[in-house]
Amino acid sequence: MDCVNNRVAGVLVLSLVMGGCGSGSSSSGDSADGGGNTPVSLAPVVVSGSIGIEANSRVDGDSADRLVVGRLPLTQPQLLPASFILAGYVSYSEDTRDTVDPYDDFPLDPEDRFQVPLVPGERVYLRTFLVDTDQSEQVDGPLVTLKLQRMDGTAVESQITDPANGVFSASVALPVTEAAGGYLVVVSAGDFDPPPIRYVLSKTAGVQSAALNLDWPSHLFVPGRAIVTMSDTTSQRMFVSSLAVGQAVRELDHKHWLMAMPASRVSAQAATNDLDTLDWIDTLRQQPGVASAVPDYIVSAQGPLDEPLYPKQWHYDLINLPAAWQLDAEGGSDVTVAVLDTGLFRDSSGWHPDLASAVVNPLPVDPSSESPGADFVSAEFDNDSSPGRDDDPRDPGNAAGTNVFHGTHVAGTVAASATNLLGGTGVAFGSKVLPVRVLGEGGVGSSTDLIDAIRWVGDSSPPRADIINLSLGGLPEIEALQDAITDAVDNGVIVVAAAGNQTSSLLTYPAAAEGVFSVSAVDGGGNLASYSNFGSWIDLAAPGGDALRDANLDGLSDLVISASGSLGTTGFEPDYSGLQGTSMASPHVAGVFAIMKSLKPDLDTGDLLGWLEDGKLTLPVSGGRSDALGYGVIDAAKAALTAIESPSVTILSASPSIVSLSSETREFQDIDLQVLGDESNSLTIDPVIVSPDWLDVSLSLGPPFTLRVSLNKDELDPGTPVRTRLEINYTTDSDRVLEIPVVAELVTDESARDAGRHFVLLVYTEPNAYGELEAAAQTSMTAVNGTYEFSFRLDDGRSDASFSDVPPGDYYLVAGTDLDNDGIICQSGEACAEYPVTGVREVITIDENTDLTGIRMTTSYSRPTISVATPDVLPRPGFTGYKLKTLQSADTTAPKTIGAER
Amino acid sequence: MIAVCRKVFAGLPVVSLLISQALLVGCASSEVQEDKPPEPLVRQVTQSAHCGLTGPGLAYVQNAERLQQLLDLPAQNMAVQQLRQVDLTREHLLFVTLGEKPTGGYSVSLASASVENGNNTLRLAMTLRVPSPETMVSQVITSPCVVLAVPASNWPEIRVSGVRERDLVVKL
Repeated sequence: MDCVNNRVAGVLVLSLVMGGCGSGSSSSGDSADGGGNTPVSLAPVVVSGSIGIEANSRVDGDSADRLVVGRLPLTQPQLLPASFILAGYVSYSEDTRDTVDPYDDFPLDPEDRFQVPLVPGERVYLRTFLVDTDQSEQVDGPLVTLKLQRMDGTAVESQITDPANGVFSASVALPVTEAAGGYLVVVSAGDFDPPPIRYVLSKTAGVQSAALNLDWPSHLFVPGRAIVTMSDTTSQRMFVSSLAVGQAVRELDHKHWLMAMPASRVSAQAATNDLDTLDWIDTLRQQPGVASAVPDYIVSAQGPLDEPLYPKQWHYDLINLPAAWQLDAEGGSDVTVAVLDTGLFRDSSGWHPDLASAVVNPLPVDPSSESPGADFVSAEFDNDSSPGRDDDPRDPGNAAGTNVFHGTHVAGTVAASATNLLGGTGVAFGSKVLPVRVLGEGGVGSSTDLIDAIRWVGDSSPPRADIINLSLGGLPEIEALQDAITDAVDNGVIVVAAAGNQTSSLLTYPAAAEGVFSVSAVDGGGNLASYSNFGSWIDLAAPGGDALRDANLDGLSDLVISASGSLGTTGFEPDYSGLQGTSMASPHVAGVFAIMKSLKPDLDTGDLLGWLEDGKLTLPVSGGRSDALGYGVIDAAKAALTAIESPSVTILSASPSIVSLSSETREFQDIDLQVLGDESNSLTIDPVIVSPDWLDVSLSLGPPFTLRVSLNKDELDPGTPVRTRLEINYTTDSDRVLEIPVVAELVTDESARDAGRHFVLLVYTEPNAYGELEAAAQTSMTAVNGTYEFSFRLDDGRSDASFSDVPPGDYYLVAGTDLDNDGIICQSGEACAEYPVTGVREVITIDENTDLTGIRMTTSYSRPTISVATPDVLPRPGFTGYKLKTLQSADTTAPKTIGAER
Repeated sequence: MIAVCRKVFAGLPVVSLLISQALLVGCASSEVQEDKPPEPLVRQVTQSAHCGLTGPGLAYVQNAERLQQLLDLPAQNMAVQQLRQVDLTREHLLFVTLGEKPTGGYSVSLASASVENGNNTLRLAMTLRVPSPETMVSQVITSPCVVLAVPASNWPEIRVSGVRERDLVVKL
């Protein structure tokens, strides 16, 4: 290694090679403070602190930044724990990037091998990231193969990425036929120019997948617009009149304003408008009286839920269903919900097994009936064996496979059996389903068929169903449709419809019709789903799913799972599937209304509308209602209690309803047991609560009741998540049981965590000539005991100022890895930390009086997401990382291998 | 080691690369049998409204690993068994996807297949079904696609028309 013609770098290389594994030194820093004989008087330290590492983080032992300083590629597989997230680098060949920057090598490292403990069914995930070698829009890259092998090298399974077709991920799972134990996981890069690839490999013990967001957020927003929340009305007036900051476009409600950016801030180039807008929003946030300012997202939830977004079990906990089921153990019995849709799945064994007991229209319907019903699909749209209207509501499916039994899925969400362990449970599992076909081939139908079907259900006396669910839409306003709905509502029928999936506020029918409850869709975190319609005509919201999100962090896409059918070898078979759409949200509301109707048999649309406006059916929304969620997400327990007039029942509800414990984040949790309903009833809680050895449970005596659950770490196996369900037996008006799911994990890897060599930078807040945010001062170090320690001294004009001395000025404090040695940190697939919080960097001003010591940051491979819980995170359109400090002109001939020490 | 062709979209160079032989079967070496294209030239294996592929385009499948990858996607409901029954040494699979659509009512199917350009180009014409404006449709997010079985011959190029304004192209 010939790299000692530069004094600063030479010292660093030595330090890196000797201390590269972070051993033997109490200080992790090998900062570039110069050579061995430092000046007697040092400039003052202005910024210092430590960077912790996110749980289970590991780093590839032969990443590019290590290889270029002489580290040899590893020959033995790297040992990994049961749960990990590892970032790495592979390249089929070695080369220079041929940039003006001399430190641009990417070295040879065609394959990385890891030894991973696996049990059958566990899966290892790979995500690859292209290395942008020439700053151009690189759309392609090498194929990367992820192989799972036994320890003797024999193949178990493998998968290959396909960048040309946009597939940048792969995964391998251990088949059930294999034994639990150590296995080899191999990541190898194919031959391609340019060859280098960054990747992230991850596995979570015991669950199906790790929920990771590895990319910087880049949501679309309207340029030059912001939604500003004022802290009080006084400052609001002052602010709104100060036109220098922004112009008020309109008042959204009593606290929120839509603001426009002044023309003076708009650049000539349209391309920079997004960045101008984000800069301006940053300015807005600093104005007195401004509580928050966020972009006007093109799909935007403007009314954040007040509820804390603790992890919630998808579907049921989000809408507080378990508590509602305590109030109505029969799950909506004696109530009939008409599902006007594609019909229901039926094979030679009968209706779908999850719905068989609920269907009220057994075949054949009275053949002598004068007006056959149940199938209203006209011949033009029909795809069943007898085209045209008849009384057979079977969904024929479609031999070509385009049908997923939409109506069956919707009906399953309303009324699937609670005793079928294979499938899901319907919201109102005791209710009856009246299947009515109005949608034919491909899920398409006509308005006249819908109108006639609504009249068939709603006009008879008594009506054929108590509630109509319409998971369909797209119609314009039609007088005859409105009349049919009005007549049904007047006849006591409650009508619920999907708001639609066009990401639009334009009115769409039947959802927007008078008398119809229009339902928008939320994901597992209670955020408006990316596709959902919104607007003043939305009444309430319910879970509709979002395949692109895992907001409740259960490791699975937020899809709504329900009954379905699939094409097997001998024809269609009953099955279950995950779908997303406002089609899935609407039946959640129809099911809750069925529970209410069961508790209050004379329930009608007028009752529901009044209660909805009074906030008695939903989780509260800031300001009472919002265009995104209407009056809010349906709350089944609240709604059921509201339906019980002068309720004599009393139930306990747990807050939070799910507990997640870990030795790192939270070792105990206090759960408030809230009394809902008639508070005059006496309440006795059985103090005997059975729990597993790893969980200690104690109950406070006397109201308000609090349950403390704490982790008993001695009884937990490290790194293996465990689950249980606590049963709280209590007696009020009758004997009842409250169930609380608990998830826990013993994290023991604090000192083993390693996210790779970190560069800590103070970067200029304005981009350089290449549009990059470049470092003004820089230091680097490896992790010691899972922590990086750093400090910066003031560059106060002394002649011996070093790389880590910072001149007075304004900077961002950031840190991260450069695993591919391209001189940029914080790219996707590299670790990143920002001060004070990643995703919400703040400007810090350095002068002789600055004393920012004791800073704590956390570095991670994952990136922040924009959600109701994190409104301050702004999109980063085009953000690609931070540029490391380059040596000045005199040093440009230095050997390339010193690149890693910058 | 055997030489393996990879697909790239139009405008990018065709690149051959070496990959461990345990993983892939050859697709374009001279050892491949010169079968005369059987009739029909191309057959439709299955259609689905829920393919789980969220971007519009083509995905070419020559081996079981790649197929498995396309069958592991969230929000998918496909006739998996029909796809697995295809003998990938005789026929390859071409997924023609419309990408994510906001509602039901969208589908794509094969209209015709022909050979052009002196046996160098396999041209596939597709029929696209889109719900008319203001039609009543199911409000479920779909990702429609059709899966075609094409002879595992040495096609330098497959062009698919009727899906987007310009042809979609697979170069092999």
